[in-house]
Amino acid sequence: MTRPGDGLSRLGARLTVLGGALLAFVLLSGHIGTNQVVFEGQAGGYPVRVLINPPGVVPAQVPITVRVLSGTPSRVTVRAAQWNVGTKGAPPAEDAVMVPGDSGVWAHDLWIMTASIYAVYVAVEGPAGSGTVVVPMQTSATRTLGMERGMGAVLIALGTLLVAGMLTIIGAAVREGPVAPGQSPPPARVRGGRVAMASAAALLALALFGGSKWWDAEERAYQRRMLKPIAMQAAVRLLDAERMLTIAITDSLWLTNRFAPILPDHGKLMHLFLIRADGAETESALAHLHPLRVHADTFVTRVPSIPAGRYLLFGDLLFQNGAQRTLVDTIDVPVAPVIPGEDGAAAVIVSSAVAPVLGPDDAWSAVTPVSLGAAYRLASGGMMVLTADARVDAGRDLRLVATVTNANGSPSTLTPYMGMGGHAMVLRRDAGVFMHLHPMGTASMTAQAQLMRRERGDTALLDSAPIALVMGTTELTADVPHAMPGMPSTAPSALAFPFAFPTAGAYRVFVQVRRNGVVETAAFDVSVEARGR
Amino acid sequence: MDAASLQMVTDHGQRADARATAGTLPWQLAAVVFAATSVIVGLIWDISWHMTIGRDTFWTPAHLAIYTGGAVAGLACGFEVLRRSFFSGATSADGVTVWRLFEGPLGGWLCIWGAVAMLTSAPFDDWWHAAYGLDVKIISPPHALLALGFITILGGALIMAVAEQGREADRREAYRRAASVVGGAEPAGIAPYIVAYAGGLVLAMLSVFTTEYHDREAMHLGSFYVVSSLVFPFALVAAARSTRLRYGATATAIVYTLVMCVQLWLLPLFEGSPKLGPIRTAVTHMVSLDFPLLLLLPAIAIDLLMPRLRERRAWLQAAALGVLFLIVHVATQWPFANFLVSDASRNWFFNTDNIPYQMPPDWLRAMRQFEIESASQTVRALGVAVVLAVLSARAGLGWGSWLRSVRR
Repeated sequence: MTRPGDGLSRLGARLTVLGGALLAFVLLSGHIGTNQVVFEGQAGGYPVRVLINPPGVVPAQVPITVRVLSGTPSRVTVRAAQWNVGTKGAPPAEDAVMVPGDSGVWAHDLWIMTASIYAVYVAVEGPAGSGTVVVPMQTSATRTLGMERGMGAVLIALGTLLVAGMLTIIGAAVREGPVAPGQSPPPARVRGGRVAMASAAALLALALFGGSKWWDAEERAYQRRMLKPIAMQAAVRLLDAERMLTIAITDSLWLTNRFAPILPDHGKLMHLFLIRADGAETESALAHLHPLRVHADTFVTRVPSIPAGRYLLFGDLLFQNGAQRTLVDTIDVPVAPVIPGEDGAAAVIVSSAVAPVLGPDDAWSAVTPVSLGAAYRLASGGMMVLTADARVDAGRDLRLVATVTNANGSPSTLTPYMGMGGHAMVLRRDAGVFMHLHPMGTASMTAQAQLMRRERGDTALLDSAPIALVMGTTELTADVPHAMPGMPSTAPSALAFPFAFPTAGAYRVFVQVRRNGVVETAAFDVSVEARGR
Repeated sequence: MDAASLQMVTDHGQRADARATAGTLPWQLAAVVFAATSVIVGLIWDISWHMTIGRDTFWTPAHLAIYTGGAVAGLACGFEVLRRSFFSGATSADGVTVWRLFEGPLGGWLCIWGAVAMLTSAPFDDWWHAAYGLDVKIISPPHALLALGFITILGGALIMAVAEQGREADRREAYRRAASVVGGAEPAGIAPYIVAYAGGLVLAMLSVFTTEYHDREAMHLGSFYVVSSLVFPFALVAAARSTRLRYGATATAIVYTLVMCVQLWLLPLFEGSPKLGPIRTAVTHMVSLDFPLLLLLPAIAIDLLMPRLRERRAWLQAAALGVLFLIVHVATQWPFANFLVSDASRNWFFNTDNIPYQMPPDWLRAMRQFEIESASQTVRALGVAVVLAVLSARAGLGWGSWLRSVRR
């Protein structure tokens, strides 16, 4: 039952196995590699940037950081409401405290008991006017921890002491316990004590063995609770001389309807990103597509004219409970079949197969990334420059600002692209992190709207309340003249993406904006340092 | 017996007499009894905390009560061991020796072991939470180690009390022999009451650990009586055998009943509300554990029957006591359950509206309906319960006899 002794036999193995598990830190959630959320919004009279960083274990304390971008509020509170019970079933708001030495930053750790979707209410009070922003957050178990050598040694030492101590006490109890004070134990009792110690040792060994099995069972149970990628198969096939990508979800939870129904985000059921994974280091290609759901489990899209080769596939899905999940795979895109036209020149045959033709929101481009701060030459002329408004350190919240100019050097006028001012895709070069962000941050605006609609609408306290009406986000956002937080309300030439690089490493940031009806894609390489000092 | 040796015996008897009255017991016995009380208070408080407030830190009063118990027991007994081993010239030799170097009371050694186990569980638990999350389950390996630590402290307190009780009985025996020569009244001792108190705390802890199987809606299931038969005949028979009181099991059960009633009546007087979501029932005051089981009645029955069996073989005694326990337990708890699930029990005295915040409000309905099973299942389970009750009573006899014999 106690663990100490079996630590002797198991700790070594555990250290290596768990250490390996820690290295295999491939975590899958709404965004790949992290549940981190960065959100910018207006809380009353105060523009705020909220950084939520759920650790990979559940239950846990989740650090919430609120950076007040202007003004001096008197109070900041945070509160987490689980999606299925809302604020009626949420604990009271808790006060954040100002972080010493970092003016305008307030922080608090929120207790989260279950892996679920939460609306985090950040309320800011002060003379400039009080208000609240709602930030969607999801928590999931994504990691286990190894045991440090020192800690293991201490536990083994204490465990050995406990085992030896218990055996000694049992021996002494049988040998001397009933002997009157001042007398020596008779030989029969001395023998009895030895027998008792031997039997106790056997029992204790059995208990430790049982304890070890118990630990293993707990470990397995935890592993089962850990978030796993949604099982799927993706392949590109040639159909009527057209490259056709089919994504079939094979996950047993999906097939047995244990996910909430999926919900369109920016009007699309799936946002699919193909990012070239081979070829020259200094070149890449990105396709941002919106496959058609031809069957409950199957999505199909044509593959646009991107170079043949190996691609990383990320398919973002949003669920009605506000959960975001990403399908992940690697696919090989074959060479596009080319058929000679009548005049002898090459011509691509466009088929009339089931998949619709690619639409105006589908965008693809080969890119030659430049470094952060440099000018990227856009395909239809002009430049985009991406800068960061703070030092690019892991975990530091900042804004990535994309400034777009026309060929003649004048500022470009950007129009909404699928209801958002722009889209940015962040990929760590080892594919361990992938995130999709907008000028409001990494949170999905539809998830936020969904959580707020649920909160407003129903009075049920339990999970049973269905969502009466599923609205496409275009209805929510298309009419809004992209009055995105942190941006001027007139048509902008620059976009700010609030973000925090979750870990150190080499990143590639793809930025997509719409100008003159055309989607422009730029790519920037960013080297992120571990947080200094 | 010559006059000098008679005088010596009488002196010894008077010293024993003086020690046997309240206030002159070994101070470390008082310390470990306090520690055991603190542990039980902390344990019940902590469970209530998790039903009411939900989230905790190391520094909740409930945790502090548990750790205070560990610290007081460990330090008091550790001090006593060091004093006896290195700073006491006299060879008192009323403790047991460990590793040929250290000498101390047997119960004290157990308390020290329990304190070290609790100490060990702290870094282990810390790592566990970092690896697998905060309190995914209440019963985890580090928590089991912690529980083993304070179980051992309770056991240590009990053993220290029975050792004192045994020595007190020896002194009284010596006094009686002397008094038969010189005449005089037999002094009364309080050690048996301390034994009953410590035994009652152990019984309360056993009931808390099995509380999951003792929901009132399960009181018409066979499994309820299977678990009862596994645990309680052992504790009650051991109490009847080890406590040098005519009604030892009864006294022990009274302590258990009082502990559980006091928490039931006191906790809801204090305000408390959840600090952790999802909150499914709005709770405004501390949620208490359930009304105690009616163990008092089988305890009285055991005390009444036991003296009549004294000359019988142990297994026969165990069979009679085990069957008696089960009959009285079923005959009292089963009909009492009808009252507990009725609306008549929804008052401060029985407090059956003790719903934790994380349960939906309609769970109150489930708390007022018996879980059902077929009659054949119940009968089969009661058959198992009879066997377990006899085995449990036999183990209780053995343990109780050994406890009665302890002198160190």
